[in-house]
Amino acid sequence: MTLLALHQVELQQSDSTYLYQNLNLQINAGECHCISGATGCGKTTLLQLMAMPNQFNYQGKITHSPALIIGLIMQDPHVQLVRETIGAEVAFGLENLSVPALDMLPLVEQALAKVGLALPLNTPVTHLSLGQKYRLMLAAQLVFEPNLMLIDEPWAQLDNQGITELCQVLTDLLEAGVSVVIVEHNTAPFTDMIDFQWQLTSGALFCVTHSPQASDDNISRHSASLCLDDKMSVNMMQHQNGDVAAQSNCLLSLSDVTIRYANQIATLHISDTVSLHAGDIVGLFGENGCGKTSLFNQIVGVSDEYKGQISLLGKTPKLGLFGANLGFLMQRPSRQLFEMTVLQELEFSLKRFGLPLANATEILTQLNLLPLASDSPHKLSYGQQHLVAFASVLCIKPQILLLDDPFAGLDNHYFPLVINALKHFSENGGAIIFSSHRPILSSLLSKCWLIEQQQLTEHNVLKRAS
Amino acid sequence: MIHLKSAKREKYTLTDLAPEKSALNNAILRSKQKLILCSAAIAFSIVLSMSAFLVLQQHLGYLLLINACLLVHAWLCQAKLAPLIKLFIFQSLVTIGLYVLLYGQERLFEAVIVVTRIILVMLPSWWLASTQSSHQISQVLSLLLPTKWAFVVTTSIKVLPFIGQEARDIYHIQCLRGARITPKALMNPINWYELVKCVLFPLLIQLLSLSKHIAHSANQRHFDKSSTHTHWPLN
Amino acid sequence: MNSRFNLHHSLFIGFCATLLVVIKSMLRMKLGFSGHSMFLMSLFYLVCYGATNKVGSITLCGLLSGMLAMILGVGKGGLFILLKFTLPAIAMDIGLLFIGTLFSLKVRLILLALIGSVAWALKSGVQDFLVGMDMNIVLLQFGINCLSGGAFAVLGALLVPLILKRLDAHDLLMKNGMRDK
Repeated sequence: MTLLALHQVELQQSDSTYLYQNLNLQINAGECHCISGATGCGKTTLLQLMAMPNQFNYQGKITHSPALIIGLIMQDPHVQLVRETIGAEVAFGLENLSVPALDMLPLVEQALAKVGLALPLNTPVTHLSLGQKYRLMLAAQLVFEPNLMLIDEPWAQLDNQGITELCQVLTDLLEAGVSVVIVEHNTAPFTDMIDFQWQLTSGALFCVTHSPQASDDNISRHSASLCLDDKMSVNMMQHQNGDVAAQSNCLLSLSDVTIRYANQIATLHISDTVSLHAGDIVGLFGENGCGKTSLFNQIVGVSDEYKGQISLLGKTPKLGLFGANLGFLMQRPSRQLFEMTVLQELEFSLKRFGLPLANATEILTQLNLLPLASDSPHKLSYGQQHLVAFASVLCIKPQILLLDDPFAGLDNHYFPLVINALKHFSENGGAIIFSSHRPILSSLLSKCWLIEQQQLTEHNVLKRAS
Repeated sequence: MIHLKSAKREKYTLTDLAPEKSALNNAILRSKQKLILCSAAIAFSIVLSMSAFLVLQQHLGYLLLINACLLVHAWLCQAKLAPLIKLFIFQSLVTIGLYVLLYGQERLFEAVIVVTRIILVMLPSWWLASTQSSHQISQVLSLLLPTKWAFVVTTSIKVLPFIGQEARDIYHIQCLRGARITPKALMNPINWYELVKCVLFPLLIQLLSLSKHIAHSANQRHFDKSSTHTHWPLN
Repeated sequence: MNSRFNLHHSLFIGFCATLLVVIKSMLRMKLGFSGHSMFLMSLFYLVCYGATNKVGSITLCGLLSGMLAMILGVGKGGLFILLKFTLPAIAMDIGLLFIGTLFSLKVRLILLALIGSVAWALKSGVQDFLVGMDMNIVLLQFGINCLSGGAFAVLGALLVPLILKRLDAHDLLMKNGMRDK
């Protein structure tokens, strides 16, 4: 049975260019479709168009079968979880359909059981891990008993554990006859369940055969290679510590540090001394919620909820102490943008620190952003905003660059630009720490800091001859 | 509009839930009790505050006694007394100071009565805030408000930690980017504009997009479909 | 009034109110002088008005901030914090009905801020009068509150056109948001 069909669909953007032209897609019951494409090609909009066609002014034909019930999971769990407990969250949709209060309970339990969340109904949503939150969002849709689930880019935000759990739930759904459409640029984790794979290019969908494209999963390739390196390098820990020459240009050292987060439950320990030297690129890896961001906050002096010794450029960290010597890019860096143009955005820090304004154009050229210099940063795509924020930190040429999850949401177009900029930066003596919820880019790293079971340990990474 | 398959629902109720049913019913009952208790507490605190204006001077003693009980109750609930004491000191200083300034010593007693009444107006509110959880109060309010505004209030409370964190994050990141917004720099009002420009403005952009996305996802879950909504029975 | 604000607008107003309450609770300890809350109130209320350009948005923002402050127990909590936030907002909206689109945006915002601060001072004045405070002292405090509250409110109002101009420049104002000139 055909649930949903797009026939010769065209959609114009506000600047009258076409986002889609001659777009065709047919989804039958029980099928799993996966749609890939570059950032900004309209993947997310396509899901919304499928779910709520009457909110768009499109040409062509979109047919919904009368039996079709759609469940839609967008990217950010923050904006989709609206209640405080998991029971109330799943029941939100039922409240809106005026289901009597007592009838809600079995429906809610049933939906939670489908996604494998066997927790008490009054468990606060804030206590869940990101992967659990994601499954809660699924349950909140499953309570409508949909026969088509639309899912937007789960891979980028979930750690490997979360992805495994999600795959399990999706497989169960497919077996129960529910159709699934996933929009995702890294298709590798889902290959087993995908029936049809599509590439969204220049406004139309093209069918892709199953072999993964070499250029397409840059990140996952690196991730696989690190796993290999890991096994070889675990017994080489603490390699550099005795080296006097290395210690002399030590930029950052953490010894015997214990971090206590605001909620006072989990802590992160660093029992040994870990350090960062000029020219190093360090990857900080650990699952969602293991304390990567918290560690960055201690290092830059934003918070001081730690015991032990942190020494950054020879001083105890304090906000504002390091000026232009420290660059820090937070998660979702697009939120730091405020100036009228991209160029002004970069020049802001340069002016405040009294650095040459020419740095701005230099970095913009390096990152291929010069054509956007006079555009408003808020009219750019997400990936471009991300890059502008990155440029604005890079252009002050700090001694240490800290990047919290810098590759989230970056696709293959922007990814190599950032990598090259980082290489260039470290070759000129800058030190970099970047974090990610899965090990990536081993070929680039001088060492990696792994967080496992609340312990941070330093591992050397064997450089691959590349 | 979606119609749920009621047959399936019934079957589920009978089989899977039977052993847990009494526990669930108890939980529902407890939620209801809490809600009624909280409504009563709100009404009581309002009446008590109002009566601090209206009660005659010779009856002020009774009111003081009731409020003293509240104070003890709140203290037993481990409420923080500091804000109340601070308020008391501040009010006494200002009011008694003004009386002394204008009239000298002679009307000091009147000033003390005035300060007492002001404290008695505030104390029930403080008691309410420190003994009832914000969750309960918002539950009571959302029963009184129209559905949409109840949703706005509960959502606002839910995103409050997020907004607070977002405000702190943006403030810190702009500090690190060299903005003149450190507490020291903000002593100079000229730098207030910088605070508005590089912290408040990006925050407002975040709020605009947050509200758009939440509205979108709520409507996707049929929030705007019907005018009557039911309520989840467990709090 | 319910149907005039869609969910997006309503939530934005709610979040502005939340931000107002959050910032107020952060600053409460640090700034001792009275009237500084009028700075935040006029700033956020007028941003709501500017972003939605609808009469009633200020009142809604005031009501929601009052309720949130009451729920969260910010300040002394209770009914009076509700009035403290709501009365200036209602006064500003009533003022808006009379002012309409007279004057330039800047002057309009300053006038509204002044109206709000008078209402704010009036609320404390009435409260003081009701507890039986001496009339001279009530008037004296009312005068001081008007002046300090007014000064802060105008300062807040002056920042609003700058914010609106920026939001507009980035095409971020909602469809019916206010565009200067």
